[in-house]
Amino acid sequence: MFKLALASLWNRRGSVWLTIVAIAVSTLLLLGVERIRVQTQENFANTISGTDLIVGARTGSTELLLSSVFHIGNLSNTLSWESYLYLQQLPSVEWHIPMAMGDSVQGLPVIATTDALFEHFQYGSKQPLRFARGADFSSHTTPTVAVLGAEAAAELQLNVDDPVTISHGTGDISFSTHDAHPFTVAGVLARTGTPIDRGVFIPLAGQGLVHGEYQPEDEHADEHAGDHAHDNDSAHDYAHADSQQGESAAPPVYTLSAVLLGLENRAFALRLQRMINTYDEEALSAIMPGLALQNFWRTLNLFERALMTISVLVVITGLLGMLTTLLASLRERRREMAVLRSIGAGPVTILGLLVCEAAAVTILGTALGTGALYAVLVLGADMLQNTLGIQVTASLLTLREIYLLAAIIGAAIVLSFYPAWRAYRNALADGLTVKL
Amino acid sequence: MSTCVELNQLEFSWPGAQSPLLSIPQLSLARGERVLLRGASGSGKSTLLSLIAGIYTTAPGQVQVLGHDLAKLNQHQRDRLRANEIGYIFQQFNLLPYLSAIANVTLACQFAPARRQRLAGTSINASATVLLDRLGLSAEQQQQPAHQLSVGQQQRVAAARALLGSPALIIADEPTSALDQAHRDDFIQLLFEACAEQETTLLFVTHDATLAPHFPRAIELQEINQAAAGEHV
Repeated sequence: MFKLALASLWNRRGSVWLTIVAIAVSTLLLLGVERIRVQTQENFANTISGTDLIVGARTGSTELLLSSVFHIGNLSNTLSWESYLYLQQLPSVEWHIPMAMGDSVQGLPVIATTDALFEHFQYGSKQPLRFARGADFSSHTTPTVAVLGAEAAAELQLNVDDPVTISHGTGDISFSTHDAHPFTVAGVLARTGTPIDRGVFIPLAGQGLVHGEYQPEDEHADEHAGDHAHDNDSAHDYAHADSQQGESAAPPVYTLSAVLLGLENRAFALRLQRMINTYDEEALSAIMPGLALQNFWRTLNLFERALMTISVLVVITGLLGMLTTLLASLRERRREMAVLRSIGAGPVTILGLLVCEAAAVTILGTALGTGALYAVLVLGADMLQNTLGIQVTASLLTLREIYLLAAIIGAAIVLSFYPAWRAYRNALADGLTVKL
Repeated sequence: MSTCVELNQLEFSWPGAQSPLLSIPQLSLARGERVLLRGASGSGKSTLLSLIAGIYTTAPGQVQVLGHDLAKLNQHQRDRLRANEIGYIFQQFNLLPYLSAIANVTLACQFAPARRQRLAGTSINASATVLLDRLGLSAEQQQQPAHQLSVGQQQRVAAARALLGSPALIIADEPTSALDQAHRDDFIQLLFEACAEQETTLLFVTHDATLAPHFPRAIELQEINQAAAGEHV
């Protein structure tokens, strides 16, 4: 019977193909949206791990998260070097990564930081950063070195030891480029699939240098005497070690955009957060990245649900198209039904024939749609990554995706019972005498 | 000779109709008999055939086919009886246009286990080929999709489908009205030969009285249908 249904479909292949394509497109859309949704969420959650607190000047948690983790937007407020020193001596602080942002290289964000970033920053399931080529800042004695994220290196077409020019501000074209201080690429990071890939990292001193905040001691008398640094000796020592500018006691930069903190004991996170939020000297905000990511994701949820609703509606449209084609074909197929009846096909056979047809069309359609999805994933993954920043992988179908496909086929079979029932009724009423 | 079809006090009217369309006191067709049933258009010929084929039903006892009272069989049993024992040839558009000639012929046996059994060991395809060969279709034509065949060829394919697996009864509903006279006579001759070989009863329905001389027995529907007689009075 299935063979007969297929032969009959083949006979009407013109209109059937259109139906199959409609179902394929709607399947592609539904699966595509589902995949982008899940993978974006995963990418999102994978951007940072192991960091217990993100500290910035008093601001909203989303803003702080976006700028410190995603390097999007510009924090209007900054926290002072003194506050950074204060943070370092808080109890249980194991490591700290300062970040100063605001400059760019051809639209890629420049993050001024220390080697602590390469040592302590983790993403995904606690994976550390790895160097694909070259090494960190400490491999050079000058502060004018840069480490590039994998994608930034590819986009700028730079390799280790190439020169790179930093421009002030975040625009593509900047009026003031720091041409006087060309940086040298010290290393290129391995791909992480996080915003780190698009980053250009320079030492804090490097940024201080191009902004005129920091002068190496041997060139100039230090105007910004390290009066704050003396507040805390241990912090002083640390700054020495980290900045690779051992001969200077002055802070390399006046202000930072954010500081990532790792704790010895996660249980301290809440207490520390309260201490930082109520710090008297400066208005600071501390956020827990996991929680902030979740909150942020929840705001994106609405958009995601709208997208899902639209794709479900498209699937329904595709199925209704199939229903229309089936119903329209019934009239011209009454004689076919009568012939089948005359050779002994019961009404149930005719009902089954139409359900089989619908199932065949939908299975073909969903298979084609799934095939198209993988074609898009394989061929278009790079484009998606570059243009939308969405990272998708051509992994196997998830259980949820299989459920979605089954739901489409199930819905089609349920819908097809209507034309099938009509055909059944026709078959009973027409008998063998079809007047056309 | 046993009876193949037996009508007894048949009364049939469409739902809502005032007077019955068919009212036949008695008609019986013996096994292996070749009968021409003639009637004008609209006289109820096709309805009578549908009753015999078990598409429509009447009150019990009125229609018997091969000893089965059709009214006492359920839908499925009637479909099964029709598949196994009745070959049906339409006026035209007999075939599923998208299947090849041979696939059209073998299709009937897919619904009919008894027919498959009667092929006695030979495969359905082989038997169908033999039958189509005898009816004069070349091997090439047998593989062509039905809609590419001429009307005369289509009717022969339809006859082959009705005959395959030796059903007890062939019902032919104006099978020759789309054919010219030469083809018509050929076709009837072929049908006779095949029926004689398989001892199949042939009920041949037409509006064309000129065919009567070909048949050993010819029945005028108006003469046996009292409903029609009453109308004309």
